[in-house]
Formats: sequence, C-alpha cells, structure tokens
Amino acid sequence: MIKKLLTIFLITAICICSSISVSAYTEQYVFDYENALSYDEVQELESTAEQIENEYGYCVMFCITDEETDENYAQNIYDTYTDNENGMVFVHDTESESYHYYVTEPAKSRFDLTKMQDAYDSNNSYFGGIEYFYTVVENSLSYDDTEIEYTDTDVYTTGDETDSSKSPVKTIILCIVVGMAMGFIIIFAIASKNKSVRMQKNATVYTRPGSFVVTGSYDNFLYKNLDKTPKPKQENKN
Amino acid sequence: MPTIAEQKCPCCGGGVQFDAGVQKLKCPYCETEFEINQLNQETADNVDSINWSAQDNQWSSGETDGMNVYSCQSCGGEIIADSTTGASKCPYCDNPVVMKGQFSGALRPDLVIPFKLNKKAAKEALKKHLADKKFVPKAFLDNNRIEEIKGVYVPHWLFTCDAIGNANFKATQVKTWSDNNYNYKETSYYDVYRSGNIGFDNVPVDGSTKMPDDLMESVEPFDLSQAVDFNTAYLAGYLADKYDVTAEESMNRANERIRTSVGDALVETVKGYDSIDSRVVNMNIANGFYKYALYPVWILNTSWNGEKFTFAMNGQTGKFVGNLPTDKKAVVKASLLLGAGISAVLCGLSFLLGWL
Repeated sequence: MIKKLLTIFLITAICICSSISVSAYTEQYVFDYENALSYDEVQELESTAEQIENEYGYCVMFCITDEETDENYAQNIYDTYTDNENGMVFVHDTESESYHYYVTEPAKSRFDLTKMQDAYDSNNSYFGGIEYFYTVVENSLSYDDTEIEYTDTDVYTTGDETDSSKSPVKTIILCIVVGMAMGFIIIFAIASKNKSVRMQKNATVYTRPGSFVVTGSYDNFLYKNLDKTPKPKQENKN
Repeated sequence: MPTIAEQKCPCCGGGVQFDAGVQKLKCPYCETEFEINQLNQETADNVDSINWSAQDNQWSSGETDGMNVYSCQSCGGEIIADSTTGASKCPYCDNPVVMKGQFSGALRPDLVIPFKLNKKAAKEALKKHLADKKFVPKAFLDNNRIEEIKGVYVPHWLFTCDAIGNANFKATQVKTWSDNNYNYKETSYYDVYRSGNIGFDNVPVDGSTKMPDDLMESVEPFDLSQAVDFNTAYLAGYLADKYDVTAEESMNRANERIRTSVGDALVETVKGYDSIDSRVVNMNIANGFYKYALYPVWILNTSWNGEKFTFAMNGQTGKFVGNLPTDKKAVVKASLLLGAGISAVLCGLSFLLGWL
C-alpha cells in the first residue's frame, strides 16, 4: 500500500514539474535584454500577450535588446520560443535605434507593422510603448483590418484585465486530462497484476556464477554531429 | 500389456505414497513410514505375481492409438492412460501406480526434485493468491470452486553449456556547452563490439505438451541442488508424465533464452555512452549437454463463466502463478474515481501556485 501511495505521489510530482516547465515555455513573450522593464511590468505584458494568443491564436513577442540585430535575430527568437505558425516578433535594437520584425507567412496580412511601430514610439516609457503596441495588435486582430482610433484609454489596461488573462479554463482542463491519465495508468498497473503467467525473457538466473569473461572489445568512433541553437538571453531579474 | 509398479505397505498391504512433509514413503492406512530405498528392496522380494491382461478383441484396430491399458495390481481394475502418463492413481481403488515402462531405459529421467509442499500448502497458496489481487470479479471469488488439485511431476529438459557470444552496438555520446550566443550539442556516434564467454547450468525447457509452456516458465526457478537421482518411489501418489517434446525440439527455446542473456551480459560491459541501440548478437554453443528431469508442480483447475482457469504452484519453492479474470467495469469505475481525485488535487495545487 505504501508503495502504491509513493508511486502516486511521485507521478503527481512529475506531472506538476512538467506542467511548470510547459508553462514557462509557452508564456514567454517579452524579452527585455536591456533591463528596461521592471519584473512586474514584464509579468503584466506577458499576461497581455498570452491573452492575445489564447483569444486570437496569434503569438506576438516583443524584444528590447542593446545588441545590433537583424531580421534573422528576430526569426531565431520566434522559432526558439514558440511553434505557433501564426505570430510575429518585434525587436527594438536600442544600440542602433532601429526596429526589426519577423512575421510568419500566414500572419502577414493580419498585422499593420507601421501602426504598431507608431504606437510603440508614441509613448515615452518602454512599458507604456509596449503596452500600447499590444493594444494595437489586439485591436487589429479583433476588428480585422478596420480603422482603429487610438485614445489614451486604450493604452492603459486595468488590473482586472490582467488577472483574467491567466486562462484558468486551460489549466483546469490540463489538470483533468493529466489526472484522468494518471488514474487510468495507476489502475491498469494494479489490474495487470492479475496476469502472472508469462514466458521468461532470458536464462540469466541459470548463469554459472563467475563464468562471464569478456574476450574481445573495441569502440570505433564513426562520426559526429554538431547542433547549434541560438541561446535565449537572460530575463530581467528586477 | 504394459506393466505397472505399485508401492505396497509390507505391514498392511495398502498402497504407499510419497509424503512431501517427511520426504519418505508413507502408508496412508497404517501411517508406517519407509525410506525410499528400503521399501524398494522389500517390495522387490514381494512383487505381486498376478497380472491381468485384456482380451484381444476388446479394442478395435486403431482405437487404442495414443493410449495404454494397465491392470491394477491391487484390485485388478483396468487403468487407461495416454501414452505419456507415467504415474497416476487407480480409478477404482485409488491406489497410486507408476507405469514402469515410461521411465525405463533411455526414457529414464536423470533427476527428480521431490515435492516439498503438499496439497494443503497449494490450497493455502491459492487462497493467498486470490486475496492479494484487486479487481477480480466478486462472483468469481464467491462461486469458484477448485475442481481439481493434482501434484504433477512435469518432464523438463535441462540444458548446460558454455555460450560464446559477440555483439555489435551503435552507441552515442552527447556533449553540450554554450557560449554567449549559442547552445551547442555534439553527438558522437560509435560502433561498439563486445565478445565473451558465459556458462549456463540447467536451463529448463518444458518437455510436455500437456503443460502450457508459459505456466511452467512462470513457476521457475527450481533449486536443482535439492534434486535426487530418479527413483519411481518419488512418483507414488502423484501424477507424472514422460516427455513428449524431445530434447532436440526443446533446444530452440533454450537457445533463445541463452542468447538474450548473453546479449544482456555483453551490453552491461558497454559503459560511458549516453545511448546504446541496434544490438546484434551472434552466439555459439560449446560443451553443451542436456539432462532429463522431473519437476514437481501443483496444478489447480477451476472454471468460471464457462472459462477454465489453471493455476500452478512450484512444488518445491511455493511460487504460485495463475491468471485471474478482471472486472472491467470495476477497473473503469476505479480509474475514473482515482482520476477525478488526482484532478482535484492538481487543481488545488494549481490554485495554490497561482496558476488559476
């Protein structure tokens, strides 16, 4: 009984750990390599971006960096952090004060990059600019190419909106699916003990003690592969 | 007509049986105990000279193919058994009998492991086996009755050899590092070869088609150090078969098991790699020989819902096996209940961690 409980506990722990890692992977939308944003600001922007992806299916990332970058850099970030085929990355290169984009092919018609850049530029603070940027993105996705008027009230989201962006339904469904899968696995493992008749796989139990001697061996190197992937930069630790 | 041997008590004339508890022959009527060889010597001088024979016209041509007819030396009753039966009981007087011709000459087993556990132990083991298992239909537990318990000496071929094996593996080593901009993963591929010798003693293969192979392999292992030279006295009171699968026919199964073990032993020597696959094992056998032995097994039969369930217990070690029916509805119900419970716990943890 203790063994079974321990097994259940371990599987539960594994599932929770894996949920954490999955969550960390899918929720990274804002990359602040210049430490221009506070931790709370990053979290708020992450929530907004996640809400957009959950609601419209578009993954929109924003990156501030002090390195000289190009479109390839933007694409690398996008490919590294998501497998969503619909989305884009907006990169602000503070070193050369230039902007770079990467937009996936299916999403090209959905984003007005000029308006998005204007929205970002229109605010003096990084946080305000990015927040405005996401508002423009959301509006363009929700109204589908209709003309949008930008007002100050569009720029600042409320705390309530941020809380609602955590997608509890998704988490609950994930919990139920994982729970049910674990339930079936555990019960089937217990029920499988009703079958105790099976052929033996080997004759190891009949090995003569001390009789095993290795008479020849070699290890020949054949070839090697080198995989190189762009490194995600450190998050803002503020 | 084939003849049978019957161990008779010199005190009361009753048929004696091998008693697993005291490891001696014992008369169930007067409870006198005899050493194995003692009774053989005594009975050799007092062999019953009465032989009954069947009339020539009792069986038509071909009717007795695959069966032998014996005459009980105690009551004269006719015992019909198939051609592989080596020990049985007279259906009329219940006296244990051994068909002598089945275990003589080239058919004589080299070894026999005497029963260490009796019928009562087999019943207890079945009770424990049923008590331990979950999701067995209640109706099966309540209604099933053991229809038959029989102690059977099952013929086995025991293969001993020195195996000379070699194996090729594809192995990989993975090295990871990173610099300021990139993560690197270098995978190196190797062709790995190992060869070695390993000895195997007495790998058993079931020599009877009557016994399911998987059932016999499931009650392994037997402790062959407790085996004794074959003596028909050990068969008294039990059923016994002679082999009907030859050693040559059994070799493939022994080779299969030995080959797997050789591969397992060789792969254990491959160290320092992150993955090993594509195993190819070649094997040669040297100094191979085989023996013929009788292993003690208790067989318990029961039926439920028109399906027959067979259990087996190692008559030496007490290892008990046997498939049980599963209540599928109960499994689904329990899975849903447990799943719901785990889901609730996960939701609660998610809430506490702030994911909800």
